[in-house]
Amino acid sequence: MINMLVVDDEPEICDFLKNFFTEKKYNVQTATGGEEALSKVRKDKPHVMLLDVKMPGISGIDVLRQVKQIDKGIKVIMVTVIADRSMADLAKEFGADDYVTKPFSLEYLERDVMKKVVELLQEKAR
Amino acid sequence: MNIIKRLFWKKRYDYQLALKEASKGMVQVTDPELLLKMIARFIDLRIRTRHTGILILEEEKDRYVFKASRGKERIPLRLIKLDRDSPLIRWFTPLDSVEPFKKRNVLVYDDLSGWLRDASLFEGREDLRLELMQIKKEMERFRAAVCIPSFYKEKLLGILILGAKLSGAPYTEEDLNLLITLANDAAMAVRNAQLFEDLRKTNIELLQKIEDIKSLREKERENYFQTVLALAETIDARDPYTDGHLEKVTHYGMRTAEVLFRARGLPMEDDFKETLRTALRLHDIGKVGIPDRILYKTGRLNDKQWTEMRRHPEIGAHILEPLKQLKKVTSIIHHHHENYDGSGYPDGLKADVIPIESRIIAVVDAYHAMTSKRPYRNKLQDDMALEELKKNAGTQFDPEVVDAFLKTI
Repeated sequence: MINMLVVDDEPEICDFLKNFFTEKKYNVQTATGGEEALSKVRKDKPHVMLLDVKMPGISGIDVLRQVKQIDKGIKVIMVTVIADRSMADLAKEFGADDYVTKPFSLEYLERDVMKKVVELLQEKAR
Repeated sequence: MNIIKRLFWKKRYDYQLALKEASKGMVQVTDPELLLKMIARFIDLRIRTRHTGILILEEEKDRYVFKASRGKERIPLRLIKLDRDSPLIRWFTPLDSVEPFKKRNVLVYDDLSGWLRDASLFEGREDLRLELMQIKKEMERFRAAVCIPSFYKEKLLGILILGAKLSGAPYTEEDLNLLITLANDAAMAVRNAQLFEDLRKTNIELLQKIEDIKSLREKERENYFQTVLALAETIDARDPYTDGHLEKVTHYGMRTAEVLFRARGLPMEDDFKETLRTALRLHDIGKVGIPDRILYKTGRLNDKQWTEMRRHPEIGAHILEPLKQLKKVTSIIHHHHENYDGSGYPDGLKADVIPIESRIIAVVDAYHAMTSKRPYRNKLQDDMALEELKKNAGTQFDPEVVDAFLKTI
Protein backbone atom coordinates (compact mmCIF):
# COMPACT_ATOMS: atom_id res chain seq x y z
CA MET A 1 0.00 0.00 0.00
CA ILE A 2 1.53 3.24 -1.11
CA ASN A 3 0.87 6.32 0.99
CA MET A 4 0.52 9.61 -0.76
CA LEU A 5 0.07 13.15 0.50
CA VAL A 6 -1.40 15.77 -1.82
CA VAL A 7 -0.78 19.36 -0.77
CA ASP A 8 -2.51 22.20 -2.64
CA ASP A 9 -4.25 25.34 -1.44
CA GLU A 10 -7.16 24.66 -3.83
CA PRO A 11 -9.40 22.00 -2.22
CA GLU A 12 -10.84 21.16 -5.64
CA ILE A 13 -7.41 20.07 -6.82
CA CYS A 14 -6.81 18.04 -3.66
CA ASP A 15 -10.12 16.24 -4.16
CA PHE A 16 -9.49 15.52 -7.79
CA LEU A 17 -5.99 14.15 -7.25
CA LYS A 18 -7.15 12.14 -4.24
CA ASN A 19 -9.86 10.48 -6.34
CA PHE A 20 -7.44 9.91 -9.16
CA PHE A 21 -4.83 8.14 -7.09
CA THR A 22 -7.26 6.34 -4.82
CA GLU A 23 -8.60 4.63 -7.91
CA LYS A 24 -5.03 3.52 -8.60
CA LYS A 25 -5.04 1.92 -5.15
CA TYR A 26 -2.95 4.52 -3.37
CA ASN A 27 -3.78 5.58 0.15
CA VAL A 28 -4.21 9.29 -0.28
CA GLN A 29 -4.27 12.08 2.27
CA THR A 30 -4.68 15.75 1.51
CA ALA A 31 -3.68 19.09 3.04
CA THR A 32 -4.53 22.61 1.96
CA GLY A 33 -1.74 24.37 3.83
CA GLY A 34 1.88 24.00 4.92
CA GLU A 35 1.22 23.47 8.63
CA GLU A 36 -1.44 20.84 8.00
CA ALA A 37 0.88 19.12 5.53
CA LEU A 38 3.79 18.95 7.97
CA SER A 39 1.67 17.56 10.79
CA LYS A 40 0.34 14.88 8.46
CA VAL A 41 3.85 14.06 7.34
CA ARG A 42 4.94 13.56 10.92
CA LYS A 43 1.86 11.49 11.76
CA ASP A 44 1.74 9.06 8.86
CA LYS A 45 4.89 9.22 6.79
CA PRO A 46 3.85 9.24 3.15
CA HIS A 47 5.96 7.50 0.56
CA VAL A 48 5.32 10.17 -2.00
CA MET A 49 4.09 13.76 -1.95
CA LEU A 50 2.57 16.08 -4.50
CA LEU A 51 3.45 19.54 -3.22
CA ASP A 52 2.16 22.83 -4.64
CA VAL A 53 4.90 25.44 -4.86
CA LYS A 54 2.78 28.52 -4.48
CA MET A 55 0.69 28.53 -1.33
CA PRO A 56 -0.30 31.27 1.08
CA GLY A 57 1.38 31.10 4.48
CA ILE A 58 4.34 28.72 4.54
CA SER A 59 5.70 28.40 1.01
CA GLY A 60 6.01 25.10 -0.79
CA ILE A 61 9.79 25.38 -0.65
CA ASP A 62 9.71 25.72 3.10
CA VAL A 63 7.50 22.68 3.43
CA LEU A 64 9.87 20.80 1.18
CA ARG A 65 12.88 21.62 3.30
CA GLN A 66 11.16 20.61 6.48
CA VAL A 67 9.83 17.39 4.99
CA LYS A 68 13.31 16.41 3.88
CA GLN A 69 14.55 17.11 7.38
CA ILE A 70 11.89 14.86 8.85
CA ASP A 71 12.63 12.09 6.38
CA LYS A 72 14.91 12.40 3.39
CA GLY A 73 13.43 9.29 1.89
CA ILE A 74 10.01 10.81 1.20
CA LYS A 75 9.70 11.38 -2.55
CA VAL A 76 8.51 14.92 -3.17
CA ILE A 77 7.16 16.06 -6.52
CA MET A 78 6.66 19.81 -6.71
CA VAL A 79 3.66 21.09 -8.64
CA THR A 80 4.25 24.46 -10.27
CA VAL A 81 2.75 26.90 -12.68
CA ILE A 82 4.85 27.79 -15.73
CA ALA A 83 5.82 31.16 -14.24
CA ASP A 84 7.39 29.43 -11.25
CA ARG A 85 9.98 27.54 -13.25
CA SER A 86 12.91 29.21 -11.57
CA MET A 87 11.29 28.34 -8.26
CA ALA A 88 11.04 24.76 -9.37
CA ASP A 89 14.76 24.64 -10.17
CA LEU A 90 15.42 26.09 -6.74
CA ALA A 91 13.26 23.36 -5.25
CA LYS A 92 15.52 20.77 -6.81
CA GLU A 93 18.41 22.35 -4.93
CA PHE A 94 16.46 21.79 -1.73
CA GLY A 95 15.99 18.15 -2.47
CA ALA A 96 12.80 17.97 -4.53
CA ASP A 97 12.75 14.72 -6.47
CA ASP A 98 10.93 16.16 -9.47
CA TYR A 99 8.44 18.78 -10.57
CA VAL A 100 5.41 18.88 -12.85
CA THR A 101 4.05 22.04 -14.43
CA LYS A 102 0.35 22.82 -14.57
CA PRO A 103 -1.44 21.99 -16.73
CA PHE A 104 -0.02 18.48 -16.96
CA SER A 105 -1.21 15.36 -18.67
CA LEU A 106 -2.66 12.73 -16.38
CA GLU A 107 -0.70 10.05 -18.15
CA TYR A 108 2.53 11.87 -17.33
CA LEU A 109 1.56 12.38 -13.70
CA GLU A 110 0.64 8.75 -13.30
CA ARG A 111 3.91 7.56 -14.84
CA ASP A 112 6.02 10.05 -12.96
CA VAL A 113 4.57 9.19 -9.59
CA MET A 114 4.89 5.50 -10.36
CA LYS A 115 8.53 6.03 -11.28
CA LYS A 116 9.25 7.70 -7.96
CA VAL A 117 7.57 4.89 -6.06
CA VAL A 118 9.63 2.32 -7.94
CA GLU A 119 12.81 4.26 -7.17
CA LEU A 120 11.84 4.36 -3.53
CA LEU A 121 11.26 0.63 -3.36
CA GLN A 122 14.58 0.00 -5.06
CA GLU A 123 16.36 2.25 -2.59
CA LYS A 124 14.71 0.51 0.32
CA ALA A 125 15.70 -2.87 -1.07
CA ARG A 126 19.38 -1.98 -1.01
CA MET B 1 -29.89 32.09 -17.54
CA ASN B 2 -33.61 32.17 -18.16
CA ILE B 3 -33.59 29.67 -20.97
CA ILE B 4 -31.68 27.12 -18.90
CA LYS B 5 -34.01 27.47 -15.91
CA ARG B 6 -37.11 27.10 -18.02
CA LEU B 7 -35.77 23.98 -19.67
CA PHE B 8 -34.79 22.44 -16.37
CA TRP B 9 -38.25 22.64 -14.91
CA LYS B 10 -40.09 21.48 -18.00
CA LYS B 11 -41.89 18.19 -17.50
CA ARG B 12 -41.57 16.98 -21.08
CA TYR B 13 -38.12 16.24 -22.35
CA ASP B 14 -38.29 17.73 -25.79
CA TYR B 15 -34.97 17.38 -27.52
CA GLN B 16 -35.71 19.41 -30.59
CA LEU B 17 -36.91 22.34 -28.56
CA ALA B 18 -34.04 22.03 -26.12
CA LEU B 19 -31.58 22.12 -28.95
CA LYS B 20 -33.22 25.03 -30.67
CA GLU B 21 -33.29 27.10 -27.52
CA ALA B 22 -29.73 26.24 -26.63
CA SER B 23 -28.50 27.17 -30.10
CA LYS B 24 -30.37 30.44 -30.05
CA GLY B 25 -28.79 31.40 -26.77
CA MET B 26 -25.34 30.32 -27.91
CA VAL B 27 -25.26 32.30 -31.12
CA GLN B 28 -25.75 35.56 -29.25
CA VAL B 29 -22.79 35.14 -26.92
CA THR B 30 -19.55 36.62 -28.23
CA ASP B 31 -17.18 35.66 -25.43
CA PRO B 32 -15.88 32.14 -26.21
CA GLU B 33 -15.14 31.21 -22.59
CA LEU B 34 -18.55 32.31 -21.39
CA LEU B 35 -20.12 30.34 -24.21
CA LEU B 36 -18.34 27.17 -23.15
CA LYS B 37 -19.41 27.64 -19.55
CA MET B 38 -22.98 28.00 -20.74
CA ILE B 39 -22.77 24.81 -22.75
CA ALA B 40 -21.26 22.87 -19.88
CA ARG B 41 -23.98 24.15 -17.58
CA PHE B 42 -26.68 23.24 -20.07
CA ILE B 43 -25.40 19.70 -20.37
CA ASP B 44 -24.94 19.38 -16.62
CA LEU B 45 -28.53 20.43 -15.93
CA ARG B 46 -30.01 18.42 -18.75
CA ILE B 47 -28.21 15.14 -18.33
CA ARG B 48 -27.10 15.22 -14.65
CA THR B 49 -23.61 13.84 -14.86
CA ARG B 50 -20.95 13.29 -12.21
CA HIS B 51 -18.78 15.69 -14.14
CA THR B 52 -18.96 17.62 -17.39
CA GLY B 53 -15.87 19.13 -18.90
CA ILE B 54 -14.98 20.78 -22.17
CA LEU B 55 -11.45 20.50 -23.51
CA ILE B 56 -10.50 23.18 -26.01
CA LEU B 57 -7.56 23.37 -28.37
CA GLU B 58 -4.79 25.82 -27.51
CA GLU B 59 -3.23 26.02 -30.91
CA GLU B 60 0.05 27.71 -30.01
CA LYS B 61 0.82 25.07 -27.41
CA ASP B 62 -0.38 22.00 -29.33
CA ARG B 63 -2.58 20.93 -26.48
CA TYR B 64 -6.15 20.78 -25.25
CA VAL B 65 -7.06 22.28 -21.89
CA PHE B 66 -10.26 22.46 -19.87
CA LYS B 67 -12.09 25.70 -20.40
CA ALA B 68 -15.29 24.71 -18.59
CA SER B 69 -15.96 22.18 -15.88
CA ARG B 70 -19.04 21.32 -13.83
CA GLY B 71 -20.28 18.63 -11.48
CA LYS B 72 -19.42 17.36 -8.01
CA GLU B 73 -16.49 15.40 -9.35
CA ARG B 74 -15.44 18.03 -11.84
CA ILE B 75 -11.93 18.29 -13.18
CA PRO B 76 -10.31 21.53 -11.95
CA LEU B 77 -9.50 24.10 -14.61
CA ARG B 78 -5.85 24.86 -15.40
CA LEU B 79 -4.73 21.54 -13.96
CA ILE B 80 -4.99 18.98 -16.74
CA LYS B 81 -4.08 19.00 -20.41
CA LEU B 82 -4.17 16.56 -23.28
CA ASP B 83 -1.35 16.79 -25.79
CA ARG B 84 -2.11 16.72 -29.47
CA ASP B 85 -0.38 13.37 -29.83
CA SER B 86 -2.27 11.62 -27.04
CA PRO B 87 -4.16 8.49 -28.13
CA LEU B 88 -7.59 10.03 -27.46
CA ILE B 89 -6.89 13.06 -29.61
CA ARG B 90 -5.37 11.00 -32.37
CA TRP B 91 -8.44 8.79 -32.44
CA PHE B 92 -10.56 11.76 -33.39
CA THR B 93 -8.12 13.13 -35.92
CA PRO B 94 -7.34 10.22 -38.21
CA LEU B 95 -5.29 10.81 -41.31
CA ASP B 96 -6.23 7.54 -42.99
CA SER B 97 -9.48 5.94 -44.11
CA VAL B 98 -12.35 5.24 -41.78
CA GLU B 99 -12.21 1.84 -40.07
CA PRO B 100 -15.15 -0.15 -38.76
CA PHE B 101 -14.73 0.96 -35.16
CA LYS B 102 -13.89 4.55 -35.88
CA LYS B 103 -17.16 6.32 -35.45
CA ARG B 104 -15.57 9.68 -35.22
CA ASN B 105 -18.35 11.45 -33.48
CA VAL B 106 -18.53 9.64 -30.15
CA LEU B 107 -16.66 7.34 -27.80
CA VAL B 108 -18.61 5.50 -25.13
CA TYR B 109 -16.53 3.78 -22.48
CA ASP B 110 -18.91 0.87 -22.04
CA ASP B 111 -18.94 0.19 -25.79
CA LEU B 112 -15.17 0.41 -25.91
CA SER B 113 -14.83 -2.08 -23.06
CA GLY B 114 -17.28 -4.37 -24.87
CA TRP B 115 -15.25 -4.29 -28.07
CA LEU B 116 -12.03 -5.06 -26.29
CA ARG B 117 -13.50 -8.10 -24.59
CA ASP B 118 -14.24 -9.65 -28.01
CA ALA B 119 -10.88 -10.92 -29.23
CA SER B 120 -12.33 -12.06 -32.54
CA LEU B 121 -12.89 -8.46 -33.60
CA PHE B 122 -9.18 -7.83 -33.66
CA GLU B 123 -7.94 -10.75 -35.67
CA GLY B 124 -4.96 -9.50 -37.55
CA ARG B 125 -5.48 -6.02 -36.14
CA GLU B 126 -3.35 -6.07 -33.02
CA ASP B 127 -2.34 -2.45 -33.61
CA LEU B 128 -5.95 -1.36 -33.46
CA ARG B 129 -6.52 -3.36 -30.28
CA LEU B 130 -3.52 -1.73 -28.63
CA GLU B 131 -4.66 1.70 -29.72
CA LEU B 132 -8.09 1.11 -28.23
CA MET B 133 -6.51 -0.22 -25.03
CA GLN B 134 -4.60 3.04 -24.68
CA ILE B 135 -7.72 5.07 -25.28
CA LYS B 136 -9.62 3.04 -22.71
CA LYS B 137 -6.85 3.75 -20.19
CA GLU B 138 -7.03 7.43 -21.00
CA MET B 139 -10.78 7.49 -20.51
CA GLU B 140 -10.28 5.74 -17.18
CA ARG B 141 -7.90 8.45 -16.07
CA PHE B 142 -10.59 11.00 -16.76
CA ARG B 143 -13.33 8.73 -15.43
CA ALA B 144 -15.02 9.51 -18.71
CA ALA B 145 -18.17 7.65 -19.66
CA VAL B 146 -18.51 9.52 -22.92
CA CYS B 147 -16.18 11.57 -25.12
CA ILE B 148 -17.71 13.71 -27.85
CA PRO B 149 -15.44 15.49 -30.31
CA SER B 150 -16.20 18.99 -31.43
CA PHE B 151 -15.26 19.67 -35.02
CA TYR B 152 -15.16 22.83 -37.03
CA LYS B 153 -14.77 21.83 -40.64
CA GLU B 154 -12.11 19.16 -40.37
CA LYS B 155 -10.41 20.57 -37.32
CA LEU B 156 -10.82 19.11 -33.82
CA LEU B 157 -11.55 22.23 -31.82
CA GLY B 158 -12.41 20.45 -28.61
CA ILE B 159 -13.81 17.45 -26.76
CA LEU B 160 -16.75 17.06 -24.41
CA ILE B 161 -15.80 14.77 -21.53
CA LEU B 162 -18.74 13.47 -19.53
CA GLY B 163 -18.65 11.31 -16.46
CA ALA B 164 -21.29 8.68 -15.70
CA LYS B 165 -24.81 9.85 -15.05
CA LEU B 166 -25.60 10.41 -11.40
CA SER B 167 -28.51 8.05 -11.83
CA GLY B 168 -26.17 5.31 -13.04
CA ALA B 169 -28.28 4.87 -16.15
CA PRO B 170 -26.47 4.42 -19.45
CA TYR B 171 -26.36 7.10 -22.11
CA THR B 172 -29.17 6.66 -24.59
CA GLU B 173 -29.04 7.12 -28.33
CA GLU B 174 -31.05 10.30 -27.82
CA ASP B 175 -28.58 11.60 -25.26
CA LEU B 176 -25.71 10.99 -27.63
CA ASN B 177 -27.45 12.62 -30.58
CA LEU B 178 -28.18 15.68 -28.51
CA LEU B 179 -24.58 15.83 -27.34
CA ILE B 180 -23.15 15.39 -30.83
CA THR B 181 -25.29 18.16 -32.25
CA LEU B 182 -24.50 20.36 -29.28
CA ALA B 183 -20.78 19.70 -29.66
CA ASN B 184 -20.75 20.77 -33.29
CA ASP B 185 -22.94 23.78 -32.73
CA ALA B 186 -20.59 24.68 -29.91
CA ALA B 187 -17.58 24.43 -32.22
CA MET B 188 -19.22 26.72 -34.72
CA ALA B 189 -20.30 29.19 -32.09
CA VAL B 190 -16.89 29.15 -30.40
CA ARG B 191 -15.22 29.65 -33.76
CA ASN B 192 -17.54 32.56 -34.51
CA ALA B 193 -16.88 34.05 -31.13
CA GLN B 194 -13.14 33.70 -31.71
CA LEU B 195 -13.43 35.29 -35.14
CA PHE B 196 -15.47 38.07 -33.64
CA GLU B 197 -12.86 38.58 -30.98
CA ASP B 198 -10.08 38.57 -33.60
CA LEU B 199 -12.04 41.09 -35.61
CA ARG B 200 -12.46 43.28 -32.58
CA LYS B 201 -8.74 43.11 -31.84
CA THR B 202 -7.91 43.88 -35.48
CA ASN B 203 -10.19 46.90 -35.33
CA ILE B 204 -8.45 48.14 -32.23
CA GLU B 205 -5.09 47.60 -33.93
CA LEU B 206 -6.28 49.47 -36.99
CA LEU B 207 -7.54 52.37 -34.94
CA GLN B 208 -4.20 52.48 -33.18
CA LYS B 209 -2.38 52.45 -36.53
CA ILE B 210 -4.53 55.34 -37.70
CA GLU B 211 -3.60 57.29 -34.58
CA ASP B 212 0.06 56.50 -35.21
CA ILE B 213 -0.20 57.70 -38.79
CA LYS B 214 -1.92 60.86 -37.65
CA SER B 215 0.80 61.70 -35.18
CA LEU B 216 3.44 60.88 -37.79
CA ARG B 217 1.77 63.27 -40.19
CA GLU B 218 1.71 65.83 -37.42
CA LYS B 219 5.47 65.43 -37.00
CA GLU B 220 6.03 65.66 -40.73
CA ARG B 221 4.05 68.85 -40.87
CA GLU B 222 6.02 70.26 -37.98
CA ASN B 223 9.28 69.41 -39.77
CA TYR B 224 8.02 70.96 -42.96
CA PHE B 225 7.01 74.07 -41.07
CA GLN B 226 10.40 74.39 -39.42
CA THR B 227 12.03 73.96 -42.80
CA VAL B 228 9.89 76.70 -44.26
CA LEU B 229 10.80 79.02 -41.42
CA ALA B 230 14.47 78.26 -41.91
CA LEU B 231 14.03 78.96 -45.59
CA ALA B 232 12.53 82.35 -44.81
CA GLU B 233 15.53 83.21 -42.66
CA THR B 234 17.86 82.07 -45.42
CA ILE B 235 16.19 84.27 -48.00
CA ASP B 236 16.50 87.19 -45.68
CA ALA B 237 20.13 86.48 -44.91
CA ARG B 238 21.02 85.93 -48.54
CA ASP B 239 19.81 89.25 -49.76
CA PRO B 240 22.57 91.83 -49.21
CA TYR B 241 20.09 94.61 -49.51
CA THR B 242 17.59 93.63 -46.92
CA ASP B 243 19.61 94.42 -43.83
CA GLY B 244 17.45 92.54 -41.33
CA HIS B 245 14.33 93.40 -43.31
CA LEU B 246 12.40 90.43 -42.01
CA GLU B 247 13.00 91.24 -38.37
CA LYS B 248 12.01 94.86 -38.79
CA VAL B 249 8.97 94.08 -40.85
CA THR B 250 7.76 91.55 -38.32
CA HIS B 251 8.29 93.91 -35.41
CA TYR B 252 6.59 96.90 -37.01
CA GLY B 253 3.85 94.76 -38.42
CA MET B 254 2.88 93.52 -34.94
CA ARG B 255 3.08 97.02 -33.49
CA THR B 256 0.93 98.42 -36.27
CA ALA B 257 -1.69 95.78 -35.64
CA GLU B 258 -1.75 96.64 -31.93
CA VAL B 259 -2.29 100.32 -32.69
CA LEU B 260 -4.93 99.54 -35.27
CA PHE B 261 -6.96 97.30 -32.99
CA ARG B 262 -6.67 99.73 -30.10
CA ALA B 263 -7.95 102.50 -32.34
CA ARG B 264 -10.92 100.37 -33.31
CA GLY B 265 -11.48 99.41 -29.68
CA LEU B 266 -11.13 95.72 -30.46
CA PRO B 267 -9.07 93.08 -28.62
CA MET B 268 -6.35 91.29 -30.55
CA GLU B 269 -6.92 87.55 -30.17
CA ASP B 270 -3.98 85.22 -29.64
CA ASP B 271 -4.89 83.31 -32.80
CA PHE B 272 -4.73 86.49 -34.77
CA LYS B 273 -1.34 87.41 -33.32
CA GLU B 274 0.05 83.99 -34.16
CA THR B 275 -1.26 84.13 -37.68
CA LEU B 276 0.01 87.65 -38.29
CA ARG B 277 3.44 86.95 -36.87
CA THR B 278 3.83 83.81 -38.98
CA ALA B 279 2.60 85.61 -42.07
CA LEU B 280 5.05 88.45 -41.50
CA ARG B 281 7.95 86.05 -41.19
CA LEU B 282 6.97 84.09 -44.24
CA HIS B 283 5.53 86.75 -46.54
CA ASP B 284 8.43 86.77 -48.99
CA ILE B 285 9.12 83.08 -49.01
CA GLY B 286 7.89 82.96 -52.57
CA LYS B 287 11.03 84.81 -53.60
CA VAL B 288 12.92 81.54 -53.42
CA GLY B 289 11.14 80.72 -56.66
CA ILE B 290 12.36 83.88 -58.42
CA PRO B 291 15.66 83.61 -60.30
CA ASP B 292 18.55 85.61 -58.81
CA ARG B 293 19.11 87.54 -62.04
CA ILE B 294 15.69 89.09 -61.54
CA LEU B 295 15.81 89.45 -57.77
CA TYR B 296 19.19 91.19 -57.79
CA LYS B 297 19.01 93.00 -61.10
CA THR B 298 20.64 96.37 -60.78
CA GLY B 299 18.56 98.09 -63.40
CA ARG B 300 14.81 98.34 -63.70
CA LEU B 301 12.92 95.17 -64.56
CA ASN B 302 11.42 94.80 -67.99
CA ASP B 303 7.80 93.72 -68.42
CA LYS B 304 8.58 90.04 -68.66
CA GLN B 305 10.79 90.12 -65.59
CA TRP B 306 8.26 92.12 -63.71
CA THR B 307 5.55 89.59 -64.51
CA GLU B 308 7.77 86.90 -63.13
CA MET B 309 8.61 88.90 -60.03
CA ARG B 310 4.96 89.41 -59.33
CA ARG B 311 4.54 85.65 -59.04
CA HIS B 312 6.21 85.52 -55.66
CA PRO B 313 3.01 85.82 -53.57
CA GLU B 314 1.52 82.90 -55.51
CA ILE B 315 4.70 80.89 -55.17
CA GLY B 316 4.74 81.58 -51.46
CA ALA B 317 1.17 80.40 -51.09
CA HIS B 318 2.02 77.30 -53.07
CA ILE B 319 4.94 76.47 -50.80
CA LEU B 320 2.72 76.74 -47.73
CA GLU B 321 -0.21 74.88 -49.20
CA PRO B 322 0.70 71.46 -47.65
CA LEU B 323 0.57 72.96 -44.18
CA LYS B 324 -3.17 72.70 -43.63
CA GLN B 325 -2.93 74.35 -40.26
CA LEU B 326 -1.58 77.48 -41.98
CA LYS B 327 -4.48 77.96 -44.34
CA LYS B 328 -5.08 81.51 -43.16
CA VAL B 329 -1.40 82.41 -43.38
CA THR B 330 -1.28 81.04 -46.88
CA SER B 331 -4.14 83.21 -47.93
CA ILE B 332 -2.56 86.30 -46.34
CA ILE B 333 0.72 85.75 -48.15
CA HIS B 334 -1.08 85.12 -51.37
CA HIS B 335 -2.59 88.60 -51.14
CA HIS B 336 0.15 90.73 -49.57
CA HIS B 337 0.63 92.65 -52.82
CA GLU B 338 -2.99 93.49 -53.42
CA ASN B 339 -3.79 97.19 -53.54
CA TYR B 340 -6.54 98.86 -51.57
CA ASP B 341 -8.12 100.20 -54.75
CA GLY B 342 -8.11 96.83 -56.45
CA SER B 343 -5.17 97.49 -58.76
CA GLY B 344 -2.86 95.00 -57.10
CA TYR B 345 -1.84 91.42 -57.84
CA PRO B 346 -2.45 88.52 -58.27
CA ASP B 347 -6.27 88.75 -57.92
CA GLY B 348 -7.05 92.46 -57.91
CA LEU B 349 -8.88 92.28 -54.61
CA LYS B 350 -10.26 95.53 -53.22
CA ALA B 351 -10.52 97.17 -49.81
CA ASP B 352 -11.98 94.96 -47.04
CA VAL B 353 -11.95 91.87 -49.23
CA ILE B 354 -8.20 91.92 -48.79
CA PRO B 355 -7.33 90.22 -45.48
CA ILE B 356 -6.44 92.83 -42.86
CA GLU B 357 -3.13 91.06 -42.25
CA SER B 358 -2.23 91.41 -45.91
CA ARG B 359 -3.05 95.11 -45.79
CA ILE B 360 -0.78 95.51 -42.79
CA ILE B 361 2.04 93.63 -44.47
CA ALA B 362 1.66 95.76 -47.58
CA VAL B 363 2.29 98.98 -45.66
CA VAL B 364 5.11 97.75 -43.48
CA ASP B 365 6.78 95.90 -46.30
CA ALA B 366 6.60 98.91 -48.62
CA TYR B 367 8.06 101.26 -46.02
CA HIS B 368 11.01 99.04 -45.34
CA ALA B 369 11.58 98.35 -48.98
CA MET B 370 11.72 102.08 -49.59
CA THR B 371 14.06 102.76 -46.72
CA SER B 372 16.48 100.01 -47.71
CA LYS B 373 19.08 100.18 -50.34
CA ARG B 374 17.92 98.39 -53.41
CA PRO B 375 20.01 97.08 -56.27
CA TYR B 376 18.42 99.67 -58.54
CA ARG B 377 18.38 102.74 -56.26
CA ASN B 378 19.65 104.11 -53.02
CA LYS B 379 17.49 104.18 -50.03
CA LEU B 380 14.97 106.87 -49.44
CA GLN B 381 15.12 109.01 -46.42
CA ASP B 382 12.74 107.96 -43.71
CA ASP B 383 10.52 110.99 -43.97
CA MET B 384 10.32 110.71 -47.72
CA ALA B 385 9.20 107.14 -47.39
CA LEU B 386 6.51 108.18 -44.94
CA GLU B 387 5.35 110.78 -47.42
CA GLU B 388 5.04 108.12 -50.07
CA LEU B 389 2.89 106.05 -47.78
CA LYS B 390 0.60 108.98 -47.04
CA LYS B 391 0.42 109.84 -50.72
CA ASN B 392 -0.71 106.32 -51.58
CA ALA B 393 -3.12 105.85 -48.71
CA GLY B 394 -6.47 105.00 -50.24
CA THR B 395 -5.02 103.76 -53.48
CA GLN B 396 -2.25 101.31 -52.79
CA PHE B 397 -2.68 101.19 -49.04
CA ASP B 398 -5.50 101.01 -46.53
CA PRO B 399 -5.62 104.52 -45.00
CA GLU B 400 -6.41 103.22 -41.52
CA VAL B 401 -3.40 100.94 -41.61
CA VAL B 402 -1.17 103.77 -42.75
CA ASP B 403 -2.41 105.88 -39.85
CA ALA B 404 -1.68 103.10 -37.39
CA PHE B 405 1.75 102.52 -38.84
CA LEU B 406 2.69 106.17 -38.63
CA LYS B 407 2.00 106.03 -34.94
CA THR B 408 4.51 103.23 -34.47
CA ILE B 409 7.43 105.07 -35.97
